[in-house]
Amino acid sequence: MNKRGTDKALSVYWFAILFIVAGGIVYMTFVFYGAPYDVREIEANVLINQVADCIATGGKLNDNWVDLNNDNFLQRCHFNFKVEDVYGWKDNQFYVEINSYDFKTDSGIYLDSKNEQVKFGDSGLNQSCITEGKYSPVCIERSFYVLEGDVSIVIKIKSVIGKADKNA
Amino acid sequence: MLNQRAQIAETVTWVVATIAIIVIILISVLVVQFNLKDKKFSSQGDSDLLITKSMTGYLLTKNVYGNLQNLGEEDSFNPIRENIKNSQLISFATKVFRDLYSEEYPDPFWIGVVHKDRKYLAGSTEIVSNTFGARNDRLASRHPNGRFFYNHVKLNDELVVELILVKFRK
Repeated sequence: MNKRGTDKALSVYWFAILFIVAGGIVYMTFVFYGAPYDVREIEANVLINQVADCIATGGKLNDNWVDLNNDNFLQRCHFNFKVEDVYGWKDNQFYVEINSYDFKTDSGIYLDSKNEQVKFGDSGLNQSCITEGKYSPVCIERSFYVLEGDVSIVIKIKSVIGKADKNA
Repeated sequence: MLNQRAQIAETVTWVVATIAIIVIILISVLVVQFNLKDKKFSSQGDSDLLITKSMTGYLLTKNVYGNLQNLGEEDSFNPIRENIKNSQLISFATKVFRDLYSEEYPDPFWIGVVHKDRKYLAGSTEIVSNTFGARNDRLASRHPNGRFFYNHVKLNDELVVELILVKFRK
């Protein structure tokens, strides 16, 4: 009679241990695999590459570059900055800025038809680049050398990707 | 009395076993949490579109292409090398590739002309190896954690311009 009671208590104990061990494994798996894969750096580089391709090919500025300006850049370069409908995002998770300099004199020259700096996307993201932290955007700036006729030009492209809520 | 002692001993064994199991699980959870690094992906592989564009632009710059061909067609190896050390071509290339990409590739940088048959190098002073056709592979095997950019453009049937940018990961 006493033995049967001990067996019952033991089986309850074994179930409790089973749940603790299983719970621990599930928790560890969730913690390890549940963390998001942050690919924003790759995304920023892809964006820079696409902008560079739109501006220049074969070592020279494209013929249509003189027509480019802030109003038509997205359309001309076949971009759309739409993002998934989460975290209250309103297609404001990207920012791109293009600067151009004379290679020999380092003086700035304007790329676009309106003599303005070409920039598009959410400029608020750009301001957040100076802060470092979990919720900061990924900011990448890269340059390349290109010719416009005989003039050597450096194109500097800055690309900023937000999406911090998803990757923090 | 004896029976009671036996029961106490058995209970203590189970209690200790339970505590051991819980401690092991807690340690495992802590190890997982501390070892969890940011899952950031940043590698672009060995290709780099912007540097390739810059190299094309460099070769199209006035006189560069022709002068590189002339360099490669000189007869004697040493004078060429000395010439190239001070060559405007190389200093111009250094300005393009070193200045624009020193953050990404801060370590040895090489640009030069390679002759297919004579197997010599004529290039910048930071020569990283001197076997034709195998520089990138050799570098990679010597520095398995390094990051390299390698590009080459054929000037003609005999001459090739090569560019190597390196970042040794430490």
